[in-house]
Amino acid sequence: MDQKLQSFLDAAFAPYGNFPSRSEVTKELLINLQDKYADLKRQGLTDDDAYQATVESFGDVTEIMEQVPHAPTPQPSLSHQESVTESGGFRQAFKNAMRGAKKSTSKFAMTDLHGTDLGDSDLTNADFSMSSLDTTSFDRSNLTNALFRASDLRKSSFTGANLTGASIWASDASDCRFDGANLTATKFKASSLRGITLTGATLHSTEFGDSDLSELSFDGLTLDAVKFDRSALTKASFKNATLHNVTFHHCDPKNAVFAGATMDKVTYALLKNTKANLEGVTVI
Amino acid sequence: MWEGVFDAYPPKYLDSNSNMAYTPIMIDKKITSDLLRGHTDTIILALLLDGDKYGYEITKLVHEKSGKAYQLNEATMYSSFKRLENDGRISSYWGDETQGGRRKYYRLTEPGRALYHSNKHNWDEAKHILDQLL
Repeated sequence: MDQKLQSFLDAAFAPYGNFPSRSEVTKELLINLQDKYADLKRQGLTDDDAYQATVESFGDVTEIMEQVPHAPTPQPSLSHQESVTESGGFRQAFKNAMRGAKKSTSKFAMTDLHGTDLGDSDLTNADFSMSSLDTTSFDRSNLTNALFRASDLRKSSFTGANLTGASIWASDASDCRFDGANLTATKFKASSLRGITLTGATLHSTEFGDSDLSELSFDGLTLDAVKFDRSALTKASFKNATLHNVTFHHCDPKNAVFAGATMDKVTYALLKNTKANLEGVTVI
Repeated sequence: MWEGVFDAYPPKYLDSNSNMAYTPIMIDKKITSDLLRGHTDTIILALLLDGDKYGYEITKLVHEKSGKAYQLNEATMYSSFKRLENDGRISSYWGDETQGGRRKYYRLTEPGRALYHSNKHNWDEAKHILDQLL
């Protein structure tokens, strides 16, 4: 476990290279993490849960680096535009995505596949980061755990595709078709999802973070344990949808439409607090 | 996502007339934690008033003394240590634990004690004003 925590710290500090006090900083942080892990174990958590809780509460490494002398880190070329409108969450997610994408070794990363037919293919674990995939067809393909980071996916088609556990981060997925797609545990983060279609899609433990979901239609869909996190939901529509265990964290569903939707009490309570219009909603 | 959030708040804070009383607290949690984060330096200085402490000891004390409502994350705490140390408000030394890894301990300096009292005074004033206004 010490090795695992050490690896976590190595990865967290990797973007800063070998700054002068690195070994001293990470040595102290490692002990803090070890102490925390041991304490959680004593409270009866499993190895995995204790590890997860330990690294999840670590916080933001940039906060540390503000206090520690180090050489400037190479930034993605878009960084000079940072002062524009995006939230910190988006910027951070985008930077991380760029960083991850550059390290990727998969044969699909940084390739131009626009307009290609990749339908009916087994693309499990494929990495399409930083690739140009506009108007590409992934219809009925198996994209389990696939990675799309900083990819151009405009007008791509994922009809009937299996995107279980796939990640679409910092990508432009506007006008994509996800009709009948399996989006179980798919993570959409910091991406443009304007104009996507989701007819008949499976939405189970799907995560929508830092994304623009304005005017999207979730009409008639079943949303199970779906998470909406810091996403715009202006005029999004959930007419006749079934919502179970859906969370809205730092979203503003006030102008979303829920008429005819069915939802459990917890989801209802959450929405009620955001002053969402819940007329015509059935609570189960 | 909400794990640990529910148990952070004893039921006595909840509205007994509603079964939905948890939710406003969940929504406010981020804002509350941003407000608290601004006082990390002072919180750490306060915890060092009664003796030297190491990193996780402070994390743990913050959690306990806040009634389990606030978790100080490692990155925020560490950057606070560095800032306070660079400003001469605290000093540090490695402990001599015989078993397991050696821990780094932090000690309040005289300027640190002075900063604590001045921050505490400022907070009391601000609190008084806000209590009148909100």
